[in-house]
Amino acid sequence: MKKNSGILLILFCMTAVLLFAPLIQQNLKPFTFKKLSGYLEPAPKPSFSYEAYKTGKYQHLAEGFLKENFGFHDPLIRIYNQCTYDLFKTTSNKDVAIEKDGWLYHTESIRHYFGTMGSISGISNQQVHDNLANQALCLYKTNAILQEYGIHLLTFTLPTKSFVYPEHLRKHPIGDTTFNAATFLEKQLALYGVPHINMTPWFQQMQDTCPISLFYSKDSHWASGAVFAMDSVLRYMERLSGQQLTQLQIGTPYPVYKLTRHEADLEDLLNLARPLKHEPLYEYPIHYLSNKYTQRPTVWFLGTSFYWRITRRINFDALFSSRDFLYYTSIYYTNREQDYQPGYHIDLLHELLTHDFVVLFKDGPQLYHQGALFPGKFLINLCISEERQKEKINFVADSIIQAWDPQTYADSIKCYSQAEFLLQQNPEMFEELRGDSIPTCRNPRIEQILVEKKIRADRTWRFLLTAKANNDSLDVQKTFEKEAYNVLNNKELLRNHTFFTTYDYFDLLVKEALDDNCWHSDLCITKSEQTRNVINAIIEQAIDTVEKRIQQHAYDNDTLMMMACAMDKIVKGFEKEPNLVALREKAVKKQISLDKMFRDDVVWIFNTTNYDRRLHDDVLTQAFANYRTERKMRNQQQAMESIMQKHQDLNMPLRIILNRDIKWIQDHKQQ
Amino acid sequence: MVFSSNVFLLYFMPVFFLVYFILPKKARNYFLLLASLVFYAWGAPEFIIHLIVSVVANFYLVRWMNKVEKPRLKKLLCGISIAISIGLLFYFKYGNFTMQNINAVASWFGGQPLQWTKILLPIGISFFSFQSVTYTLDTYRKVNEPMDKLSDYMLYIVMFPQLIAGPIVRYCDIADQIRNRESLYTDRLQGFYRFVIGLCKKVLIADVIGFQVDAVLGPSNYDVLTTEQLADIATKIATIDSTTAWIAIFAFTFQIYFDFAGYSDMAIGLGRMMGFRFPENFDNPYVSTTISEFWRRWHQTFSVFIKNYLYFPLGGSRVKTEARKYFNLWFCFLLSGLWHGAAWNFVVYGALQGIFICADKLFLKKFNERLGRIPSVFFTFLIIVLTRCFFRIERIDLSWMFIKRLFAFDFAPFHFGDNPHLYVTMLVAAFFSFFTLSKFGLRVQDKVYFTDYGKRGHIIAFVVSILAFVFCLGALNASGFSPFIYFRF
Repeated sequence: MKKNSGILLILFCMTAVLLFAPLIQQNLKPFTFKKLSGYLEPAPKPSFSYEAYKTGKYQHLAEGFLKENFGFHDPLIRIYNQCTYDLFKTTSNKDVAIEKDGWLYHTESIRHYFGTMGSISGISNQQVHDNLANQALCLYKTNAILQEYGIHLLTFTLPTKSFVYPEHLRKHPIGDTTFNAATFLEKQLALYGVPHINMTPWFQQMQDTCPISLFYSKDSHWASGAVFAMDSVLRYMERLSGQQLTQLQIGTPYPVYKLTRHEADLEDLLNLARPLKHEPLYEYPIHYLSNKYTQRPTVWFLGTSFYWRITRRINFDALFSSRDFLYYTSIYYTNREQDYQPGYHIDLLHELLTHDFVVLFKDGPQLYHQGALFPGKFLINLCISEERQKEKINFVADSIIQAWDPQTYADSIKCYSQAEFLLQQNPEMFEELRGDSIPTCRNPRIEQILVEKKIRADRTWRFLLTAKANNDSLDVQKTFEKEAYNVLNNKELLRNHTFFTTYDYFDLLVKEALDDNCWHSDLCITKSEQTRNVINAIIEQAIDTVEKRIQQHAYDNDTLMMMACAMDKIVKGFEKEPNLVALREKAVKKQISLDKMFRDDVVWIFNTTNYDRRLHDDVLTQAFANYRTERKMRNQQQAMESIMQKHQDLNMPLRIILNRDIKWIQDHKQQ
Repeated sequence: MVFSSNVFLLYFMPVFFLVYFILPKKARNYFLLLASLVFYAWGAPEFIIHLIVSVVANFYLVRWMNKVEKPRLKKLLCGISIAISIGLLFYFKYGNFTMQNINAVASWFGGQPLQWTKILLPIGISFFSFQSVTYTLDTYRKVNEPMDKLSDYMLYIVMFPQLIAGPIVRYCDIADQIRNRESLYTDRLQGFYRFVIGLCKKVLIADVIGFQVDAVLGPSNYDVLTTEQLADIATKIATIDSTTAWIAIFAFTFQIYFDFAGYSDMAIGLGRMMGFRFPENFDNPYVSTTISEFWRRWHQTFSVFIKNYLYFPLGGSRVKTEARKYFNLWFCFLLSGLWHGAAWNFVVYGALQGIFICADKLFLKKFNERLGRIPSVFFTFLIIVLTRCFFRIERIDLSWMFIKRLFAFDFAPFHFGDNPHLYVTMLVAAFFSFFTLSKFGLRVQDKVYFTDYGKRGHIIAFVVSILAFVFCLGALNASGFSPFIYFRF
């Protein structure tokens, strides 16, 4: 054995190093790895106390924490998952099922197909049946009330992948397939006359004729199917409202070699070490057809992540003047994905009444659960005042507390949320909402919201209030609410006390021009084809719009300057001393000039905050140069005096005089 | 703390061995003792005092017993020492069960139930109680002298590799090793390889199979279930088809073997890394041709304990009548069944094993000899599989219902594609369970387990062990944590 001792020592040392490697990685993190996909409630960090140790709580927490945080955790799991996937085509993720031909399905979608949802969710089919019947009744009442205010409610049940592509499913236990929640809800809503489409049967039919897959094999959401679904939603909206909406012209599919975003959520959940092989991907080109009679309504979507698959394929700016999205009840996205806030913050009644359409969609398996009770919430908010709601919640919560042993059920917050849940599940607990007829009571806040809506519809009034809010550093929404209150109570209106310059008006007009008209479809398409650059097309569009206004109001034709104005606020923020210091440090670090650093940061902010108006670099450079010239001019007293003189003599807006001079300077600089 | 947990594998084990090997030899036992107490206190902090007090009391009692000359006093002290060990075991393990039955009988006769607060079972009590009994009895029988140092005795009882699930090491087998042992590099490495083999058995085979068994038969411990959950399990068992039932019970038979044998391998491996040579606990039990042989191969250290400290004191086979001999045998198995758990199903399990042992002696062995080796192995295996129903399902009525479902012959179509991971794992488990039926298999096993490796052997074993260890860590964290079955006993 002695002759082997050298090699044994090496092997022993290597074993020791390998055993210590996770500890080293955990504490020093010399290697970085791709993080695991999917959400897991992070284990809390344990804090040691003798009591916690004695009861074993500390050990339990520590084991849970270490399980998630030891070194090499993520790659080890990926390696194991890859091995089990390659060898057995299985996964440890309970939410994903690996089926025939490498197709992945969400487990719930399979249970839904085979009628075993009830046995898993713990809710019987009878309970689901009763719950859905109740929800349908609420939707019927809500729809009738919203129609009084000219708002249209549409409901959709999303297609379930397992129903559209059952040929890729393996054999699974079969439960009660006689009850299908989606079909039942469809029947109930048809009975009540609530606008509803169950998309599953339609997708099943389309699957036979469609040349490309409606769902990707590795994703739980619709793929190109989203385009057809949105087209049908638009047509349904048209039929309901009698308005002419933008038409989608769907072309012939073209192959996509690289998607802008990864569409394989189920594959991500497998957490494998290497990516799976995908089928060739195809997308439909879409043209937006509209004319001067085309309306762009405001829409509020409530639903699941299927929404994102639509917005990735269809430009909602071309269809809607404003669209908001409430993702389940958790996150509220205003117009764009970048602007969001927690869902519980939103004023449900306000949102309901300030949109032209409310579109509610649920997926099939979701109907078996009892969460996200929008129908009940809608009805309660429309009919019951906030005070009465609170009173009732308190009453129900008190009953819950009394029914439980206070020592075992000490968490009163839980009682209140449970009370809220019970009321939303069964709004008929409010005496006013009982029965099948449409409730006659209304939330008194409705009147104020409708006045506010009217104010927003009046452009001058809207501009005046926005300018007031900006000048006085007030919350814009609060200002509108206050004005509505003034109207209702015959008080002095805020708009009569607003100083409004031409500059402000022009600024707001340009902003609105960019917002409203940049996606005016026919113009936009022509421009896009000409420039082959959508961003340029937006700018061109904005310039065209502003030019039209110039013709009407004799404004200057320098649109780029207007963009520089929009940037003004960002730049002003930067010129504060602490920001400048930080910028200077950053510039030194990057070894570039302060001016370049300054410009880069402004561009970055502009681009991130104005997602849909990402500026082309050349345009931005020009805009920025113009802006810098103006700043210099403003700093020179003599130049400003001369400009002010011209402003008075010619009786033209200051902005126009300024722009002319800047343009003149720019032109002469170039010469 | 369990061996197949992150805390042990990634923190306790590396840190322990680093310090252990750095320390001078004299200090190693003290450090091992301290680490063992930490190991036990991590999982059962409220019982550490019980453990220490009982160990200290037993140590001094045995020393006193060894010094006294009077046989009656000696016997008394021996009795007290054993009473402490067995008394604690009885109180903690069978207290709830006894009270439950007393109250059941009382209510049968219309009496009021006695008030009783449920007691928690300290992990490993069945094992360390038996170890302290072997110490007392071996000293009483003058097989060996008592330990001089309390720390050495305490180390013998609480040494972490074998503290909570064996092997049950007899005092006389390990006394010298505690005082003086050597750990060469080859021991350290081969101990590590053995540990990894055990980890693979547990994580890659037993846990994978166990997950599916639980899905069919519900969790193994019914004490923690609510009435609704129990009713759910009862419905499941009542409606199970024969194919699933057979697959489930075969799966459990493999699960329990690989779970327990895996733990024993890890314990033996860890011991060897420190220079200890613990006795083997399993010798391919499923290749037994008779039930008696099975019990010689299954949980060997426990069988030896029952033989030496229960069967022989009862008279063993040297009794006047045949009936008494068979009663002794049967009684030993009845008690060993009860040792596995405080529930009637374990009593039935033990009684059935006892009946088959007696039948073995009477006619079954001869019958098996006539069958030939391979058929008798599978016949014996089938008996083991069937009796496992009472081991796995903790209610006799449900066990019986399950056996009926096995023989209902309503076979549902079997699809390998339904759960390839389970079936492949079961095939692997079956392969390794019956591998040693061939001489080649035996030779391979001897080479892997019991031969000192050469240079090439070490390199191959090292690479394989490291890869397996990494894979086990992945499996452990990807598929969730599952405790060892034998911790409950």
